[in-house]
Amino acid sequence: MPVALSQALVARGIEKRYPGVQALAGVDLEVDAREIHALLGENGAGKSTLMKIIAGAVVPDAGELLIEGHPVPFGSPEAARRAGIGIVYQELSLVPSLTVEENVLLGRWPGGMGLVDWSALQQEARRHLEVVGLHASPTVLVRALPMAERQLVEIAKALSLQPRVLLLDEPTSALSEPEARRLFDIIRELARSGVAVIYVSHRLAEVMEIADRVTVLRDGRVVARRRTAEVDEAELARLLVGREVQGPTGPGQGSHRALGPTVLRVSGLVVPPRLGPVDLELRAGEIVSVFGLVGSGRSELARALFGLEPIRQGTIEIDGRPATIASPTVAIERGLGYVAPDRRLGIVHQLSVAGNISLASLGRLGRGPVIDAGAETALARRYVAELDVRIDDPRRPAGELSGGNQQKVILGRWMCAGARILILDDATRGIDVGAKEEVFRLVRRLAEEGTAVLYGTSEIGEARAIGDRVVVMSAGRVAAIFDPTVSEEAIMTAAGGVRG
Amino acid sequence: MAELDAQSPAQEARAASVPVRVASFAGGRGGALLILVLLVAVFSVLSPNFATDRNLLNILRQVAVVGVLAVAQTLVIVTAGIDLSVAATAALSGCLMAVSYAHWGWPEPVAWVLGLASGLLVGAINGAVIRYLRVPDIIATLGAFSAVRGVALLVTEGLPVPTFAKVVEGRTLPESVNTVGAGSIGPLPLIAVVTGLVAVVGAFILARTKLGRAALAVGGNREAAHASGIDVGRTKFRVYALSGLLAALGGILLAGRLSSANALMGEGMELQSIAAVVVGGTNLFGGQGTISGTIIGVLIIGVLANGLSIMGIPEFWQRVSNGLIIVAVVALDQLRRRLTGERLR
Repeated sequence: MPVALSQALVARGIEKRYPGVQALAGVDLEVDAREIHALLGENGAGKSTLMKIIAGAVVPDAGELLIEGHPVPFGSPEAARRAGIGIVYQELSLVPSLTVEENVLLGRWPGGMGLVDWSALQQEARRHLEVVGLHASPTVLVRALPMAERQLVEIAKALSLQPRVLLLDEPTSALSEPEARRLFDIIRELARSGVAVIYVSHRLAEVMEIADRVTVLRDGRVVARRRTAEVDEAELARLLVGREVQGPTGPGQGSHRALGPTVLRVSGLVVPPRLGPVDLELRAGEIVSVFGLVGSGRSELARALFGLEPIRQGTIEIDGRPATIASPTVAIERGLGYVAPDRRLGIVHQLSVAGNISLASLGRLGRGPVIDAGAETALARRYVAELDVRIDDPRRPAGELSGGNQQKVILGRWMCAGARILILDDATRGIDVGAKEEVFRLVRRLAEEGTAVLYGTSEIGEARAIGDRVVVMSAGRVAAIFDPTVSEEAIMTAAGGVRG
Repeated sequence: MAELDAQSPAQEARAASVPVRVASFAGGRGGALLILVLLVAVFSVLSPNFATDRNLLNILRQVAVVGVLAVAQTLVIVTAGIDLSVAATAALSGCLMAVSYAHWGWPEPVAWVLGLASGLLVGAINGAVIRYLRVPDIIATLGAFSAVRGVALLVTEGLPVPTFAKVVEGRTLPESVNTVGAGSIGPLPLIAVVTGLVAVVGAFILARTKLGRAALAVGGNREAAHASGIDVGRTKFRVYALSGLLAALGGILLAGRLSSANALMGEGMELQSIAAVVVGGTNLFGGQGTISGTIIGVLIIGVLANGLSIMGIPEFWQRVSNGLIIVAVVALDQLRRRLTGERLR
């Protein structure tokens, strides 16, 4: 079969069936050398299965894979590596207690007779680290590095195998915007040097920015192949979910709500070492977006308000009365709820969905030490229905739910606890477009019912779309407060980041 | 995200396959029940003396004390903790009860209260050390494992209680203690009935009370529990205190069964209790577990010990088999998790 030389990777007719699920139904993927090719799809669309098949971790039922025209046998990570396929997984595969250079060449340290040739190790590792532009010393422990730099180490590790095709699985999920931007530059540089890059992501804006072409997967099939120059975000979103997305497209959709009295007033709040002093007000029925990059103090503010960080200075008033929020228990008593950026910090996997929903309301579920099981089940069923959590039986473990549904369960937990002030911190991180939309709808509905919402996010589009006001944080302080109609550039400038 | 993406079809796929369903069943409570039935069947065939009413009731008598300790252990292990001091605490409490009654001449109810209170105190100290001094559970209770035995030896001066030279008014153990240890209700040993009641109470605590739910949440995801308003330190403290109290009851039962107390009694029962919990399908890493599984685990260990000794195999082999069982069961459980795609913590 003739194959154009420019095609770095060709996958044809890839099929993978798990009993009950056709994970991939005849998928074709073609990626050129020097190309950045985005693979876009919701959860369950099959993109990770496809990545794993290409990397040799999963054996498909049918199909073929060619790297630069040569067939690659399936099911062997070693064969895939030798054929020139490198992969950077989403969960980093570094050893925190080893140094950067040791990690780069992990498992392939030079030397013989059980001894490591340290100077050779150093030399080679540094060469790869230079390519990714890591500024940290190669001799520091990976544990000491921030996420962004770990990601670079991970990429250097993949590059040390001199791949012809580099697979990146959501590489920006843990990065701030400037860090992501730097990563993009590196990826572009790699592509220019001849590597074909396959970039898996949820983030449409990112894909539009970095990719030359995009392949959209839905339900195990390729539903579209486009040049990014020829589509816009709205079309990609539609292709992704297979219907019109009513998500946050324009700013200020909720501004028609009637606002109640001020329920939360923060003044002079200081949480060392990164936050404050911060002043903030929040009214019943109001959604205030708090936009901030990683390190801006946004997360610390959310955590401090919920009693998860010790407050050094400042006052918090709830409903006009001073509050000393020393622990989440106190915060919950005063009507607060908190949704963390990482749902693994919120969900107890082994506990049932019902148990997770009622977790913050145990005090009210029956008098004395005994849980009123009937009341608990009734509450759980109510919130499962109200939030449209996809599970037949709320007694099933919450760990069986998808990420978006887990986040809904956590929202349900706070509705169940009767929270009147909700603090969300990057609550939609890593969940797919459809689930995001549902979270937005829920947050708006809660606000309409009088809940005050502090909506922390690192995505400008979200901040403008959902907030009645946009509070921008930078270097631990409130840098600006905007109307949501303000331009993205203004927000980004205030946040201290650089846009485009 | 991406890993869920790929796992969900895989999980469904695997959930459907027969070997996985078997593995999933065998790794949990179902497997334990199956093992128990098999053991009983095998020993019944191998020895005519095994499946007699008398021997079966004897097994219940033999496992009763470990059963109480294992209920306590289950409550601790679901919080992702472990209590290595249950057997030592049992010994101390049994000794204090016996010494205060027989040697010091204290009234019977006071001796009971002293015994139970000492266990509660040891548990509370364990809990406080873990809660306030931030000592890891395994270290805190390892310390207690040694220190509490030491106190028991000090209290008894290393002698069995009652010791003839020290008893007042010719006392032995309290009548109630002897009755609980040796008496019967109909055909059932009273001591086993007490264990049954403890198990019912333990199961109720775990499944239906706020403390039980908090314990499961703390063991399953400490951060999530904390962020849901659950006081992690207080939950741990209460669970360890409860464990100490139950261990004390176990110690008094043990004294009753032996008709005397000594500082070294119950040695090794902490490991048997942990083995029983794990064999019964409770997750050693916390967050999930059942008392009914634990009781099945206790019976497995009891039947095995009894069956081996009836077959004339030296008692030393029981220690070997107990050690092998605990490792084998955890290995099986890990295999089940791998096959069913359940995520490890």
